Amino acid sequence: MSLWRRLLRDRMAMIGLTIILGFVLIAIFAPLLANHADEIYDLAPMDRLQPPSADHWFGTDRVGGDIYSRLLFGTRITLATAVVGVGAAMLVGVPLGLLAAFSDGWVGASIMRASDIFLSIPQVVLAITIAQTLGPSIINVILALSVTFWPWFTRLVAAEARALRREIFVEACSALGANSARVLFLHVLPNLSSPLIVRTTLSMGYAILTAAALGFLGLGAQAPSPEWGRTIAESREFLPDAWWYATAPGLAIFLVVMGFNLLGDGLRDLLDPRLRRSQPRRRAVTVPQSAPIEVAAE
Amino acid sequence: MPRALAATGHRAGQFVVTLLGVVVIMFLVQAVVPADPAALLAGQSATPDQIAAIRTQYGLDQPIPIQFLHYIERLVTGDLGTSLFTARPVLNDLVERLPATMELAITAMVVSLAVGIPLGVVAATHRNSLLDHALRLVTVSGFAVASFWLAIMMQLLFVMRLGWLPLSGRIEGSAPPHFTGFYLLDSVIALDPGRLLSALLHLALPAATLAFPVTATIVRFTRAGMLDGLSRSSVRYLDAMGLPRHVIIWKYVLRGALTSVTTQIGLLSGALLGGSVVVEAIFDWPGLGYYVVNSVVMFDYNAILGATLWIAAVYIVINMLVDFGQALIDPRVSAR
Amino acid sequence: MVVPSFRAQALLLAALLVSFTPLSPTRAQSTENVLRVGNGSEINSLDPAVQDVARLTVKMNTYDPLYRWLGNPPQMVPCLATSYTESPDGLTYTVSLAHGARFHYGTEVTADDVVYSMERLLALKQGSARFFLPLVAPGTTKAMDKYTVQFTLKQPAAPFAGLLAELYVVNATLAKAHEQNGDWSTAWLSSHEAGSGPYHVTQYDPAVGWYAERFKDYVLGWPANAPDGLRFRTIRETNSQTMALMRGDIDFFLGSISTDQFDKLAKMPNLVVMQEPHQRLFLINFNNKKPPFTDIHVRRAFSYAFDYAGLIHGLEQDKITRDPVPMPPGVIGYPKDATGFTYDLAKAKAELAQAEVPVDKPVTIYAMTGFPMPEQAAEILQAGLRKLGVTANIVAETWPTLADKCRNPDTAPDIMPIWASANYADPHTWAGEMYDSTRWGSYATCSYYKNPEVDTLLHKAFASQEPSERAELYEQANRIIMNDAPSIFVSNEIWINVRNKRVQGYEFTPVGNGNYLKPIWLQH
Repeated sequence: MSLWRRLLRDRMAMIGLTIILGFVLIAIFAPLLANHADEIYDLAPMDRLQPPSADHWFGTDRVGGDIYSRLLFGTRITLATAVVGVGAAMLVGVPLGLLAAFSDGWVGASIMRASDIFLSIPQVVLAITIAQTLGPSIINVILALSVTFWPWFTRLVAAEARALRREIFVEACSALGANSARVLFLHVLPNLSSPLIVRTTLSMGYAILTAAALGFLGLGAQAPSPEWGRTIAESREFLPDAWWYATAPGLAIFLVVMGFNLLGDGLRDLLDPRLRRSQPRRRAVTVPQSAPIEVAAE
Repeated sequence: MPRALAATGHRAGQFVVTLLGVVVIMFLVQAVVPADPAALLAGQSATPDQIAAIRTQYGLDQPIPIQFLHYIERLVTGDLGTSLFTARPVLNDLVERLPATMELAITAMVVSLAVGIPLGVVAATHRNSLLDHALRLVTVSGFAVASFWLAIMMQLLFVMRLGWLPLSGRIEGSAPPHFTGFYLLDSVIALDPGRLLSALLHLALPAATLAFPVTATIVRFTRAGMLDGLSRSSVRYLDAMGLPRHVIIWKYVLRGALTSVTTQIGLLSGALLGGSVVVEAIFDWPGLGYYVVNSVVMFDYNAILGATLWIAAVYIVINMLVDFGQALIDPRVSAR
Repeated sequence: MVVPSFRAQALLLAALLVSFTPLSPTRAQSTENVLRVGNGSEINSLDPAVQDVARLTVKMNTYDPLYRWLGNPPQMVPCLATSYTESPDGLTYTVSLAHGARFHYGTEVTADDVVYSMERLLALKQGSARFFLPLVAPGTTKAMDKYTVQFTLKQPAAPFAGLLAELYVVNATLAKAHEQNGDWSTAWLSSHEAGSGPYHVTQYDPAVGWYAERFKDYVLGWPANAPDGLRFRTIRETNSQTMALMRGDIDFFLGSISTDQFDKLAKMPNLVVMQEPHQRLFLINFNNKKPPFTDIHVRRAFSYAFDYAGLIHGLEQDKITRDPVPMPPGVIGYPKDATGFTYDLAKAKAELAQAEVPVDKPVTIYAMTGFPMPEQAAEILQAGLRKLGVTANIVAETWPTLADKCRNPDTAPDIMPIWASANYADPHTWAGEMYDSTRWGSYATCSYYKNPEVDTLLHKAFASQEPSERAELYEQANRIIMNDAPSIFVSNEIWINVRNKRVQGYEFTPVGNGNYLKPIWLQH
């Protein structure tokens, strides 16, 4: 468990982890923490667009809803969307990556080609097309996320698994007659867990940003859902007077994404064997390998 | 140079395959659409007969694979179909809107490089100083902030509170005479400082929004590349030669760091193209991103398909140009 | 304040950037003799035959109809026509055209152009075609001579003369020259203008807007100081609209100004507030063909579960007024003593208890994307229904998709908030367009309400030439409809807008939502 101890010593990563845990707790205990939990879906038209006060900590929205309470419930939507979306992308992307790495000839080549093609469309463009085509809803946002995120996992797994394939133990297993699925899932996959954990953590942040962008463009959750991107879109009509309207949900997105990024950066420093190996001891700085990809993903 | 020719041919082949793949994906996505494109085309009060006629006319009654082949057939001749919304050839719309997006993206890229590289150098030379930590905070924020929120907050501050900049649009009043479609260039050519200023002021916020995450990436890469270079023995040699420190840093070390930055430009252009979708929608910027959002909202099939294809093509071409440029600078790259 | 600091910044930047060239004023446009108008949605086509309600501006200012509705309350005023006669059986209308009216491209407006425009409308079946399709058969409109057109109707129709304001005349010679494969020149006319109206389009970019020069030879003449041109800019965001008005970047905004921004605009010294009675109903349609809305008690229960005051006084801050009738007040046939439904959950529960069709599944409310009021009304209804124990989901879809779904009762939305505007100044434009079951098939009839008694009353009123009889018939029909509650009748609008001080002569007309700008002149 020296890994865990080393992670504990990484101050930035711990800040990230704390933020994430905080949001998870908020999501779980939203009904207890909210001071207007009953009003999430109820209207108070006469109480609309009130600035922050003792009663409404972050002010009220266009139909008199309490922004603080809605923010708490929005956490559930945000985390669930990102977890399910990225999870589904892994479920599709990881097996495909393994397949690509371990099958020679056209199967592997066409999987890689397909992932290239998906990556040649800017992610937001593909995601909005999918989300709108299927109709605006949270489920379809999740679908759009998984369709646009799987190639990243496929490429990562394929690259790593190819390297492993050359390593002796896989060949040894095959020579001993283990069937290939067994080799893949029992021997290769566990060895990929480190880069996968890093990639997944970093993907979470971008999945949240993408989902929020879809919500902002009106392609995600519908009224009166307290989804954050949607709330920010609603607020535009009431600026600059209702300055509080967009502020809180925007900061919430910022914090939670920051949390995942800090943790992901920390984990990468600790876990990514490729990076560790390629780095001489004296070079203290890690080259942010995935950063541009992440930006491109946005 | 037969090898270079073969490489170019290979590249062109990949380009075509990728674009075909994009069309396949978009066709698959659109095959599950709930609304009937023929009915949308026909207009509000069309009779069932009329809708059927339009379905036949546009080939929408045929199976998806056949429609796909027809689309490819027309694509070869440069025909992307007609937009339902603007009732004009999609290609016209796309060509018309490309300069607006390119002007925005190039400005953002130039700003990011101009700001990001010096900051990255300073962060590396002042490693672990307060400045370095502050810059790290900014770059980490660059990846975490939602661009649409940043845009709105900047509008709130710089437009609504301070009144320094225009809220949206590309220019005040009429556009400069059309030479290139880039308003900055066109107003310079027309010697029109009023329009140039207006175009610059309108560019400021959207370009800044778009540039923020890109700048963050460039700062990180420059910093890492610089630290790598500074730790090399050649630096100690130059130092021993008595070269001034700033010459070593800004001339020798930076040059090495820049090669790692340039590899990112291709990927970052994808970020700019993707980011422009949201940014253009917020700033009413009449470019490709705005066109995509509009077409998607209006279920404008040909336009969505054409725009996606177009954006993918632009992205691939930029990446090819970046690779090509790198090969010119650094012969080792072409071996890849 | 906002303006000087912008100027100062602008000048400073300008000085830095272009210090070598003489400065031209940054806001040269505001002294320009051009009327600058903001428009809320993109103008996607210049074709007068395909435009819908949201994009009336082009056709109303660059094309001419035979008659125009002007003033408030609207009066029918000759435009390209000078007079019309109606045969005693009400089936033939003979219209005389003005002499000397010219198209922007030289030729005179003749009867042939009118005939072509009518045939084109009927063939394309879009936009205003829905008014003529039930009345005029293709090929029956005749040019009697150069200046006389004869329309032959399938059935007598009292509002027909009023509908002539919806027939915009296209330059037939020009249009025919650009036809491709019998497309009635739709491709060409979508981006070229071929009218005879007060302004002449010279630049058009769907993404940005359009510019039209004043047509100096316009047949009806011009006021002194009329603008040299008209510049339309698409400004979609509420905030951009408000700021453009405040800073004087535009003189006028066509479309509804956000309620919440209005007070700020009203305080600006460069803007003048305008307020007029309007005829634009807001209602929430049920799909009467789909259970549970086949049951009158369910519809009535839902009508009692809507917080009218919450929308009108709360969210809309009294910029709309309660109207329980499917017709704006002041129109003939309006039952003046009508009170309609109130927000009363006890009564709602009582109605629901009487319902024979159970409301055991969630209902869906369809809100138009991008329009705050339908969305907020959907939320209010949803909150009210929750208190009745009914679950409602809100789905946002774009207007084209919804309009498409409204074509037939199987796909028409369960519940949909919608506006109803005056298409012509005749009582028939209200209940007649919405609740006559023989008109089924467009968004106007998306309640798919059928009551034979109402049909009979509406048909009689449509054919009758006697105003007092018509008033009586519409009033009876309205009362029955209100009791049947095929829709929740919410409100009528007050038209509130601002204009820059330099804009003079503007007159609002409910028909056409105030999009006619020809009377405007600019004060310097």
